[in-house]
Amino acid sequence: MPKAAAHKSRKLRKPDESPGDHIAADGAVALAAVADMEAACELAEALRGALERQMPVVIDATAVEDMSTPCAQALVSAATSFAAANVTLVFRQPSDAFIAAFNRIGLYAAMMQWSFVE
Amino acid sequence: MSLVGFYDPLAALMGETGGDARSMLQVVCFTIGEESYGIDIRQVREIRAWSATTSLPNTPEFVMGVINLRGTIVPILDLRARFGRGQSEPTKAHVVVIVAIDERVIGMLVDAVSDIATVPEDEIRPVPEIGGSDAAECLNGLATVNDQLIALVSVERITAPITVH
Amino acid sequence: MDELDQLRQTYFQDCDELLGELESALMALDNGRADGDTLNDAFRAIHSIKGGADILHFDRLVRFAHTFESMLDRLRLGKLAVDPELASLMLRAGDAIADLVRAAQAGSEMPDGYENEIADALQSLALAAGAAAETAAANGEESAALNERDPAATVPTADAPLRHYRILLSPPADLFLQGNEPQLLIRALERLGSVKTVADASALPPLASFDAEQCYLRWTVDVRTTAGPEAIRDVFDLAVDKSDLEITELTAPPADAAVAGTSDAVPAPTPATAPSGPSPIKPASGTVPGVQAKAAPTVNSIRVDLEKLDYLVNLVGELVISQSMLAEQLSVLPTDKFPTLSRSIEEMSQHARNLQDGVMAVRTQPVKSVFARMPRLVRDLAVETGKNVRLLVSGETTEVDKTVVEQLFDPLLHMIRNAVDHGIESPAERGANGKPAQGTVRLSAAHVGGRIVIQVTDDGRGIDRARVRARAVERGLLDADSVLTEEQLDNLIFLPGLSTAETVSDISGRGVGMDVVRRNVERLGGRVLIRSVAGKGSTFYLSLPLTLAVLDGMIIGVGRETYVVPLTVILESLRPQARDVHRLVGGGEVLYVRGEYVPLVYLGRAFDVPDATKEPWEGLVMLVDADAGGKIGVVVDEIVGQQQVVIKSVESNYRALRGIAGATILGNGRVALILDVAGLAEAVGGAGQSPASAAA
Repeated sequence: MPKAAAHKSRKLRKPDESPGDHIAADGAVALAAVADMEAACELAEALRGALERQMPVVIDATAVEDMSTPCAQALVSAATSFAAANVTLVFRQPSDAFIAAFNRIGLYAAMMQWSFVE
Repeated sequence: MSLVGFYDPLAALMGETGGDARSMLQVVCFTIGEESYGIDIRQVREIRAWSATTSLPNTPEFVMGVINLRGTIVPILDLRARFGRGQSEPTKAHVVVIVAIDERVIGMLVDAVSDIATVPEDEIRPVPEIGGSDAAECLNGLATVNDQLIALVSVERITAPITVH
Repeated sequence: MDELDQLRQTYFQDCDELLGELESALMALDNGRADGDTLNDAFRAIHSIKGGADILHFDRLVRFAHTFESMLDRLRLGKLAVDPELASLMLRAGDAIADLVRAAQAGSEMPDGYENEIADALQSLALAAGAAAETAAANGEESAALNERDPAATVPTADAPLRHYRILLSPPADLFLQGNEPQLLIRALERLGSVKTVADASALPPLASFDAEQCYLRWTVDVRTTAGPEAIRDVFDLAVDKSDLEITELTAPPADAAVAGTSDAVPAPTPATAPSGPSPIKPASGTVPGVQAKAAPTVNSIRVDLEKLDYLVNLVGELVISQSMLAEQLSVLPTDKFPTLSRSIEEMSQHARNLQDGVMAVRTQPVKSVFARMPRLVRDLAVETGKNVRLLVSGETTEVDKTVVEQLFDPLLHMIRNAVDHGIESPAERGANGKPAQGTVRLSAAHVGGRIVIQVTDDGRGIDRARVRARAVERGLLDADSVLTEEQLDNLIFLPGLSTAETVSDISGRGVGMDVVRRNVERLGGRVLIRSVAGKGSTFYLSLPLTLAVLDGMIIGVGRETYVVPLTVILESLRPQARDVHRLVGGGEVLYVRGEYVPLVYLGRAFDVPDATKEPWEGLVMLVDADAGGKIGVVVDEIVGQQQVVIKSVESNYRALRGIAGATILGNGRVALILDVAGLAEAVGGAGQSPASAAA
């Protein structure tokens, strides 16, 4: 299989930004249509911040068309950590592509343990 | 073997722009006999000293033969003969201008290369319709540089007889 | 180029091969060989084409491929039998698929509804078989037939055994940063068969210390496929280091088939080699009788960019030149004073030669790839012209340089078209002449005299010399009173404008005549000619150099110029006696050699070389084989030496010259032209006159 160009590390943080800034007051996070590595990094940052503040989070996965493995991995780590800390993390209306990706990556079982809402 | 290294035409062009709004043409000037000519620098790849050619059979008079240019077979044209002014008798002092058009590399034998001139494009005059001499049909225009008349040549038309089947 | 472009390029390269395999399989079905292997080959080809199309979103292709695949699936499961009508339909479907692929490649669209008729026909036949028709309007989704989620697809095929592989992938942490996306690899595996993936997330850290750019996952992937292990390895080629990958073949699914219900680490199974464990999958009963499971051949190969190979060949060529220049420079040193040096030079020469041979061998390919397309062509031609023709092929394993193989298709196409269209008579006419109703065209390839010679022989009516001659005179190509041998008459067909078909059928008379074929072949340093026997048939002979890059040559001197004559055409060299040289009445000279008169060609005159030796007895005569021109004697001054030369093109910067096949750079750095003796003979009319009168 061909390779893409290697990704550059994306650990740049804009100044004056603290984690958790990306999560709206009602704790909703929307996943973009293309949930790539960059999205994974941002997502991890945001969720980390929310977890630190013990904020419940709803992840809207309706729009996802392209779910990357880094992103899926981030979600699994997040979901596990949230569950361990007893903070609510739920998924809203995951798209077919979202589910298919988890299946393909082999993380279906983990995903099935999460909570989903309409 | 080359007298002058590779020209980087783009760099050369960039170097001369200097804020002038007019469009400039950079030409490599060379002489054949008493006359001066010029070639658009963007077409010039290299300038070399003359080296003996291997002749090709059944070719026009102005095709001197081919040389080995770092592994590629390059035909050399006698520009004097191409212009209908007789045949050159090349010596080591003569110069070959290597040009590239489309994907071909071709060399042209001239007497000497003088310098690189910058000509504002709007000062280039058309070639008068004297009547089809070989030389005239190969020209693109006339320009004056330092009181000297430079005839700008069209590499495409010079090489047309050998590139068109 | 970006990943998508790379993917696309790879896909279309794959499709080239797959379409070829598909056509071979469909042709076999058409010829009545409907065994499990063939059906599987066809199915697998379509499935692979479909899979890639899916990833690249070629929806129309996916839909049609899906319909086709369903039909093939039914066939290989024995739910439907192949009859001639179906076989023909499938051939058309194969064409349609090829067209859709080409359109996708070109970024264009086939006309609306182009494939619908065939798709409908396939579907209705499938329905008629009583099997539940899958919705042909496929939803382009990943739920492709052979995916694990479709239970129907995991039924082991009746004949080719399903092999079970377990892949353990433990990638490095920077897998993502290296640009890899595991889902693409999984998808590629899905194209091979059914796939079950389980990820091991045990190394995934809690969110607090989680780094989204690192890969913490490991995978266990179970693949069930009829493909061999190399197909599996291919998927991971370039993406994953061998050390991160473990591929094991298990003969049967493990008792506790890894269920996607746990994300805990799956215990690594002991790499099982064939015999241990449960018995291998046996073909179900009631299958196509007498079919042996075909062992998938393990071919260790790697796909290489042709550019890289060309670069290598050029480098080696330059090495050979440098090396010979060095040898020449050092040849002036007395060998007794520098024995080690001389020996080293000799060894280096040998190494360079071996290296060159090795690199050239990498580029050689059997002509099979070109020959394989011919049976289909003949079949179509036969149908179109209403004739009954069979094609016999031999020597397909003959190898030539890849560059030559690519050039073979076109001339071959024309020669075969010519044979079927003009040569082979209608069944009625054949019957009337006491010939079997079925005509035969024989296609063969062989190495002859350092070249590859391809023959196309038909047992048809042969060339109608009277008509050809008349047509040539009519066209002003021949003087009405000129006398020609039978051979010369036959070869008139290579003159432009001489298509003498009675019915200029769509296929042959398209205006691309044998003259173009000849010109193109000659440009490659090849020759093509025809020999014919009236009423019995004709044979085309096409000869090409084995490689367009290197040749063994004799270096000769004429005047102050040096030329190279390909060793393969030289018959002998001799210094003639004056009394054996005879002048002919019409001009020109011949040399009497052991009972025959050989026309002389003065190279010095032909090429206008000053200072050339005037008389043959003062120089040398090389007897050479000029193909259609027969044997000629080339008059030269001296033989300088013999060496292997790298062929350089004169044409690329100048143009093609009659009598010149190319150029090379000698050890002294000078350019020497390589002779094309056949062209030389023609240009000079075989009689040593100046070619100025002949067309240059």
